[in-house]
Amino acid sequence: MERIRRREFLRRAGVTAGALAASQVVPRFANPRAAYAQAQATGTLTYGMAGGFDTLDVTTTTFTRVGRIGLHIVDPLVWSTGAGQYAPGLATSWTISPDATVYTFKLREDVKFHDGTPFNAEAVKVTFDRIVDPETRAQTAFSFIGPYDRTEVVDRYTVRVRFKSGHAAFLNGASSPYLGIVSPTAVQRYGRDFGRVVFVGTGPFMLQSYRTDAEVRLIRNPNYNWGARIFKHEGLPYLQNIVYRIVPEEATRLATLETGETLFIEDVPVTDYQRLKSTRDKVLLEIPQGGSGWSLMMNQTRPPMNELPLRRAIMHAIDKDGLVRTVWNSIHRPACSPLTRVMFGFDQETCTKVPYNPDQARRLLEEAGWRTGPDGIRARGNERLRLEFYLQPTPQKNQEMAAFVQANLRQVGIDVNLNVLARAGYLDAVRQGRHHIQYWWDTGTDPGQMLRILFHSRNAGGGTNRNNYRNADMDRLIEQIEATADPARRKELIVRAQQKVIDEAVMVYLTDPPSLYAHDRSVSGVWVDWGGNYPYFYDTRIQR
Amino acid sequence: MALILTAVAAPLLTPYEPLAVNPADRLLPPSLSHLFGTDVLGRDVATRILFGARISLLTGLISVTIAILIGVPLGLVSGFYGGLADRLLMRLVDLMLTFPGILLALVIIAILGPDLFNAMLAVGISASPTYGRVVRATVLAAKSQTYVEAARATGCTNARIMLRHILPNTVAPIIVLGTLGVAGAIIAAAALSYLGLGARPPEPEWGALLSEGRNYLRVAWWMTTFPGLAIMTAVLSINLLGDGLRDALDPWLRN
Amino acid sequence: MLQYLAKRLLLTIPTLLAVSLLVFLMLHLVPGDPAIIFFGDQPVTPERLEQVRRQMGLHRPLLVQYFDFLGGALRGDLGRSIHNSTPVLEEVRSRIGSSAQLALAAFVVAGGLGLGLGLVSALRRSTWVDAAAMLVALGGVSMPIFWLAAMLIFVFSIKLGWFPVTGFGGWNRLVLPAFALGFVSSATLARLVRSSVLEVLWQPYVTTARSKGLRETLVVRRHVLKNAFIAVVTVMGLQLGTLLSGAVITETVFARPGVGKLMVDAILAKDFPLVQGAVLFVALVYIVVNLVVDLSYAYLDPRIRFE
Repeated sequence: MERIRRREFLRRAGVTAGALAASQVVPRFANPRAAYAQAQATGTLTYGMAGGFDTLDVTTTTFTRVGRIGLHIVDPLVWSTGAGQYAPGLATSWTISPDATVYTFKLREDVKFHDGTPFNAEAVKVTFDRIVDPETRAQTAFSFIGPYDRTEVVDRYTVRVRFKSGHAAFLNGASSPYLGIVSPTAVQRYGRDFGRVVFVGTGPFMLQSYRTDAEVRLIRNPNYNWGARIFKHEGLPYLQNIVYRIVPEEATRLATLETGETLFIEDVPVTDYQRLKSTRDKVLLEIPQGGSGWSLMMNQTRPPMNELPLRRAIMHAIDKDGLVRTVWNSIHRPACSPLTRVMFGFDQETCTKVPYNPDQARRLLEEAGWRTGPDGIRARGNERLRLEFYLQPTPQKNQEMAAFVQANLRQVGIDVNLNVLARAGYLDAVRQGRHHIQYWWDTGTDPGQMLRILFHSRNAGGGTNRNNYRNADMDRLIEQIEATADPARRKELIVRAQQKVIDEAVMVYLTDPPSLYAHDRSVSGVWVDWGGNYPYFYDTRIQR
Repeated sequence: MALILTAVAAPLLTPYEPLAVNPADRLLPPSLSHLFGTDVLGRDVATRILFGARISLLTGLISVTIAILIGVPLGLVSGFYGGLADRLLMRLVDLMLTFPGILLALVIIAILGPDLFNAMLAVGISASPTYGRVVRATVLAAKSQTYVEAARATGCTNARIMLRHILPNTVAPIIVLGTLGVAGAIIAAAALSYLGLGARPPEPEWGALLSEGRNYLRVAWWMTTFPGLAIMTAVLSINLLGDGLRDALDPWLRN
Repeated sequence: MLQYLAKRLLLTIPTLLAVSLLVFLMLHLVPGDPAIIFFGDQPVTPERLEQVRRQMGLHRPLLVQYFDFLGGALRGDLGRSIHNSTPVLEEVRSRIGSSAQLALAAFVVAGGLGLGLGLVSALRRSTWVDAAAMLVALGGVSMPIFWLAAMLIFVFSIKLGWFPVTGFGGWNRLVLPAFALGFVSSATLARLVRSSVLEVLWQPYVTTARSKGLRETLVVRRHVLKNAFIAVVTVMGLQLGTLLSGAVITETVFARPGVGKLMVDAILAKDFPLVQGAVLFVALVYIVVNLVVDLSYAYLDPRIRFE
């Protein structure tokens, strides 16, 4: 494996020398001049991003932000146009075996990576094999690829992906940036520095430079001629550059939009929603988010959380409408189930199942033997009803919601102790199960995957199921959902799973958030996936 | 004095609860019923400031006390004995000064748990080398004074000389440093709150109030303005107190 | 003089060693497994967790890990971040420019303001000018940086449009962060300058100068300023470390990549090699700056000699 010398790295990592990384791959392009004649570039889109990340490699990252950037650099095999609906991307057509274990894709034949490597079935195989290689330390991509067995190169432009068990959600995964196809030669050549110094795909933009924690600069791919059909045009992207600037402080990020330093920002503070909405020269994008909304996990292995009446009482005691009105400025919606409203199979009935009712909560606690003490806190014998709530300090909303939940539970006689811990201490505590309560919030578009993360017993005991809820029926249900490709049957199973976790009072669902983006009026043609996570600037223009 | 009084009497001065949330009263501007307005959860800002006074002033005092408890003996021993003890202790002081205070704070909080007291412990420890150095300088100056020689000649023990004859000299500079330190600690608590490592929410510590309000600057100026003014008033009065004490104790400046 | 310099430089070695050992031990005392942090809220099996722990080199005994680091450091290799495998040296180096710029600019703001306010209030002692200057200085001590920064952005970027909000490079991007960071230090400095000027103002040699008929401005320039400078230099020597590593809030608010933010993020992620690298860098700068400060005393105060 050839490694770049250190000096060269430093040069490439630098801002001014950034173009070198691109120029290194550009010369092999067929005829850039002709490509330029096709579409006039219309400037640079500066994007205010809410935080830093680990790597630019979509295969190994854990950050949604990397997906946001990466989607411009890699192309996915398919595009998702709605829950369960897919359109061709790098794959022109595909077939799925009835048990959802074998997927066969026909690939486009006119595609090249930024470094000149031709795109073909072999590249798909290398990308997918790399995801499951332990050395790669893939995370998000690893969970998207599911029970992956192997990829077979049927012919130069036909590829067959096999799974050990049914994986009905594979197209959903393949439509995400994390399973986007990367250049096999670049992966070989740069090793550990792939994603750090260079990152090479087939997408409409190429990586020009990357400064950790500061900015990522993309330049348009002058050879791009394979835009997916779901977009408004096919040839070159209209923008010349996209610059992602990292601006962690939310007020500052908004300020950069107002001063024109950025033209597009993510994570618009909900507090400023009304003001932005009434501003004439800014546009607010509000997309209901796919995944799981804000919710509370209740750790069943830590007494007294193992008691169903207590968990149910907590569900009744929290005023979701109040939470939406105060902390979330009436922009979120009260949540109903572990899936947000836009998810495939969302069950509307769950919205009426556990209404806000503090009296009911008190009754349940009373029946379970919890008696109110002189300080207003309940106790049973010598056991005070005190719950440990573990949370991270950021975002600030964490603390606001926690104060709200604490006050709500106090009303029915439950004492909540807030433990605000930085990431390391927090993860340590909750993975070991020292918490009674902790937050959850996750974005995604596949209900099976969401349910597995939250409720499958394989994720209990230190994983993501920090309810530590173990139920064999539930496990089976989740596995069935994952293996079922038939939409009607799948929907029925998903509804059943939602009702089951509400009947057993596993979690408290607080609010369903929207994704909030804002951009300058001069920006048009922004596409955002239906899950609300990936603003895509292929069709985007800036008109002053 | 008025500050301390309000801090102690907080519960008598306000009809509101500092922690109870009230969705109907979200972000109300200052009015007769809510003198300083309300915050995002509908809590009365004035009430929170009053209750926070106790916490903030106390944490300031605690951190300064810790700094003095560590710094003064250090400086005293190092200055008085000189030689190897001095060199070793001063190396230690150098080390502590070189060591980033923020790292110390993060580590202490991570080990001992997220609590304002632990944060103040870190602030106190970080500040102690400064006290050590100042005390050492004062001791060096005092050691050669004739009355110390006299005490030694009359057969006083080292400990007695240190405590009776030299320690009093260090009081004036310590008061100046200490009054500044209380203010510094309140601000440090605010900075730690900003990093999410300050007061345990929903405690209405002043720094935490400012940190909470910073995202509402454009829609609710009262959430930061009033806690800010409270901090400023406290810092001002504590510093005036310190200046007064110093001037009173320094014969050079008396005329 | 040269001998003194050599001695001081030699002394930095044990200090740096002690700092690195202290940092190493402290980080290991902090609860939290880097491998768990690495996976965060992602699903993971125990086998995968163990594997990553191994890849991070965390399975080896503590002492071995430390000496491994030390050996590398002596060869000029500080290792790679255990999270994104960026070489630590590169990570630190890529932020030095931004950090140094900010620290120096804040230094200028703090020094200028502190000196100005301190001098004015000392020379006009017990007048309204004195009171006003000290009030401004106290305002500085009692304002958390994030609040001041937010106000600066609101007034100067959004309302007046004078300066850009964020970014790096170009003096106009430096003004607001430097002011936010420097203002706080200027307050302490102003008080110190004031008291040290007051101290010399009535010393016999100043009185003599005055009685010789020298104009007041000349007296101040010749005899008083130098004393004030000593105060400035001392305090700034002590505070430069803070301006570098303590700039995390300023860096966050103004979205500048810097060493302070790097260090805090690395601590929170328990990225051992990165924390070590950042702390060692800050410690080295601190030591060097204070050496320079000590040397500058000789220039400012001829009575001081180095043996």
